[in-house]
Amino acid sequence: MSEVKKGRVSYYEFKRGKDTLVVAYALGHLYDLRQTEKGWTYPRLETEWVPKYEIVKKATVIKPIIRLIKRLAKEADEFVVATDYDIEGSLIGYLTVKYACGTDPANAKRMIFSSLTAKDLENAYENMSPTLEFPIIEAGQVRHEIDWLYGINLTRALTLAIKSTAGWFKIVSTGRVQGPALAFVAKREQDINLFVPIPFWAIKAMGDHDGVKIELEYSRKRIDIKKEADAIGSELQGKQAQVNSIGKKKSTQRPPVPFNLSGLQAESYRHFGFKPSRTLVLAQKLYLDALISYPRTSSQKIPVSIDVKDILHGLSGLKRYGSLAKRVLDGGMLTPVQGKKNDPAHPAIHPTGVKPPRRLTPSERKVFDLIVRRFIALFGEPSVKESRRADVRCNNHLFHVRGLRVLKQGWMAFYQPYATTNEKEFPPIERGDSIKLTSVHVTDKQTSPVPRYNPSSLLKALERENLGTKATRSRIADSVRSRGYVLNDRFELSTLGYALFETLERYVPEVLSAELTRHLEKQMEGIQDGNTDREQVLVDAKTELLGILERFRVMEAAIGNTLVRGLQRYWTEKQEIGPCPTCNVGTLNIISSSKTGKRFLGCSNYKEGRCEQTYPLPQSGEISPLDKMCPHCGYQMIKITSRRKAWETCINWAECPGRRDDLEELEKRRKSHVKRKMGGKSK
Amino acid sequence: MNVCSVCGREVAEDSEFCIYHRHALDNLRVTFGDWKRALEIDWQEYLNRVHELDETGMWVREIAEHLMPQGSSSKLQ
Repeated sequence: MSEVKKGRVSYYEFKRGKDTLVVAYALGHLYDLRQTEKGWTYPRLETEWVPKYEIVKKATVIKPIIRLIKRLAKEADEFVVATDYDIEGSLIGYLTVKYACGTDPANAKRMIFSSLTAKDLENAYENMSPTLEFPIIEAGQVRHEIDWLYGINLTRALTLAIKSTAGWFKIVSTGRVQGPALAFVAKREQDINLFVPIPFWAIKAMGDHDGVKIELEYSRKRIDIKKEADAIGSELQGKQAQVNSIGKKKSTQRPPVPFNLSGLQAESYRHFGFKPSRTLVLAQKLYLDALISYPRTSSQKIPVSIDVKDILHGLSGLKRYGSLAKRVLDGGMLTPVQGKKNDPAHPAIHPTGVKPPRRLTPSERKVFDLIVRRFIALFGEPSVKESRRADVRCNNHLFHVRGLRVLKQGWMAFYQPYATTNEKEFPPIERGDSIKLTSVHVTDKQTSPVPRYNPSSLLKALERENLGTKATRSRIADSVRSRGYVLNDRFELSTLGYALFETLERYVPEVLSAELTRHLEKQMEGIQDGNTDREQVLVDAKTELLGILERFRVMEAAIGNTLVRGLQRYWTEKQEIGPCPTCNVGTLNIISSSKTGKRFLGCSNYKEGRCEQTYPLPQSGEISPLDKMCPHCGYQMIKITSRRKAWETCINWAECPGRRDDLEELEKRRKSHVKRKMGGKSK
Repeated sequence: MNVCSVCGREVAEDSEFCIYHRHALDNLRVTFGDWKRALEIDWQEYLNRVHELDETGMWVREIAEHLMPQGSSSKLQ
């Protein structure tokens, strides 16, 4: 096979039997939707597919790709779509055949595969489908159209409401799934903001038996009245307790099920802290290197058609996994555990057994390791654990002493370091033994609010509510953050997020409703299953949207006012770093010098002439206050987030004794950089 | 427009507070029973303690702060 370069792009050409095969690639979507009527206004309901570079200015590489495909198509006798077998892939193939190749898609054929190994691709070529998968394509088309209709029209409506109120052009976006995602985050934030903790008390005791220290757990985990807790503490201090009984329980645990995309994303977030979108990008790279199967799958099943023995043989040739794979092969039990969820298009995510063709990046290696070890663990025997519990009595009070040990590792041995058990040694006590309670502590506690969403739990919530697709959910979770609706990865709602949520909830609650989106998802699934047609779904969606936009138009002024007030609060808060440590009255704000354009921190009391305190600031990156003080100088800490990295320092960084070394290092590097530059010039 | 004396938002119907601070006050009232039983404290002491806890929600803390100077004579108790 040879690669033929044509400027910035290329294609591949090779012989197979009598045929010459030409393989050209797309780069995601080559075509996108554009409104047919003019004007940056709403409603705009009619669209057409046009080359992406006509809409997205940055998509410059698309033009030569389309040009190349058009040229190659003139010589072709037959067209075969070999994009990923899912909604997006099928639509990309269809649009490319229709517009770039300029041929009737009804005549195109389709290769279907779940991994990019040579074996799978050859098999897909030999057994290709004689037609494209039109129901999936129709569903993909209508998904794009509906997302465009809701996203463009609602975003314009919000943005224009602000413009007509305050004259500012500030894009405030929402969309079909983004609205409900924002509602999840906002409602969780409301629960947290409205939370009143309730006090309770817990009792912890330490005992002694023949010189062995024993941890005792009081049978009531929560005591609601302080007097009662204190009385128990005083009563038990220094007393002798008796071991009444000792119980033993064995439990077995089957291997975890095969990974689907959300399972992989959740596990990757748990172990490595990777955001779901990042895990998807890494998995996609591994897929393109033919190391794993197609990652955008809902399936938790490894069907019998997949040659697991062959994969394990492949893995046994890899240094890291060789011994594990050989143990499974030698054991002869080659039936993997299966999960419940199924996806007719693709199996669960699994390794292909192919050796990495290049050195993987550390992050890629982590995700690959997780996938391989999970796959091998599927063939493991159940693990067996034994838990022991002693009931220990003192007067009328009951304590428990617990122990846990693993009797048989089973699958856990294959899934290291990801499978862990908190083993706890059971002390050497027997029934009838007495334990002296050497210390009894009463601890103050209080109930806690529900935790905020994180990227992984928000993704799970969207999946549970059937919002978005496995491919789009992680992007939606990211967009809620990138639009400034949340402050950080803890998904703490910003004032802007609140303003938008309040506005939509009050005036157009349908936009936040999971019900509307779920209804549209169901209709789109109906197209895929052949139960309804694209035109009807589109007409229904447009009618629904027009109703929303009409109500919006009537209340545009009120909506604009609410949003403008929220934006003003948001911008003010973004500038505020914290109280001024000099006057203790004013607030330190980020100020840009009108003369130099450089930013610095200044006290809000400056205008009244009461405080002239200023602090220098790094000139690039987004600055946000941290809820902690510098351990060296006691000044407020701040976080600076630039595109490449995030770092923390204090507002007093130029004077802080703890940062002197950093500054000296910085100065040294600056000087050597200048020296190098000068040296370069003199040559 | 009548505004919430805590945050400046529009007041809720039949209330001197916005919907959020009204709701926070309702929660504060409901939970007072638990605190009173647990610690035998009065309303003022309750507000002080709730205000100090990290787990207390922002709106609850704000309304507690607003009510604290009014003491146990507050009609909102």
